[in-house]
Amino acid sequence: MTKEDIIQKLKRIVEPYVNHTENFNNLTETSDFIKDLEINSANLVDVILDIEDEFNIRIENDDMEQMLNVKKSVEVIQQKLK
Amino acid sequence: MLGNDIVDLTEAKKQSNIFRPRYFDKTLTASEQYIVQQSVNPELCFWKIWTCKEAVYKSAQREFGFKSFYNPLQFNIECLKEFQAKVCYNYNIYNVDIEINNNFIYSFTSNDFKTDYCILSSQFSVLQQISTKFNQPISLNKNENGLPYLKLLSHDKICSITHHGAYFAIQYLC
Repeated sequence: MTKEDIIQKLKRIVEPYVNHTENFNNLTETSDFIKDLEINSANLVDVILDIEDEFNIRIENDDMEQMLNVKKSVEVIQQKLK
Repeated sequence: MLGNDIVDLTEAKKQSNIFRPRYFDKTLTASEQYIVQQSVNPELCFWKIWTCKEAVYKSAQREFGFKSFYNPLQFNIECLKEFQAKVCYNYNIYNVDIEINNNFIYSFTSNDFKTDYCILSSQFSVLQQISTKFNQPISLNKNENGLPYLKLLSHDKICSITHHGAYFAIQYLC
């Protein structure tokens, strides 16, 4: 799966939890889930669980720790898909 | 240090399904899961623990200046009472006070120095109320690390902010 494929899937996953539509529409790799997309921290758990389901992977809390933006999340997903 | 967190219970019901599979595994330690499962109101108990963890996260970030990270399991409830909790992070124990009613749960760290807080429906009304209390204009700003403070005419006051659903709260130094 290419990085672009992962980002597209990730975009669909985070969309229901986003509170800042404009920043979501201008999503980049550095977009921060909490600061830019204004996803509330309790919903960040849902994002992680949805990623696990979508990519059929398991993310431990140590990996989850840094998954606060698109770039880091893509890195963790790519690592798990290897 | 200062740290607070609020959960609008009506909004939380709409936004989150905390009972979905693996949700607790990502957010609660084994002993916290036990506390929630034994509770007469697991949902309320979960949000109580959650707000305590969030308040301590903010307090520790202010204290140690670490970069943002996301790992609720690093913050462990050592003791949970009706309106108080002890939370352990990085070998330190933080005391947290909890205000609960039918509409929201508000948790904030208790400190050696005197702090106060204000909960209203918007940032504007909270600032207005604090402004009236100190009898001068007040604005909310962020420092170079993104941490909030209140700007008064004569000096700045560090503060912690939280908002969810219909509520906005500021905890500040007296």
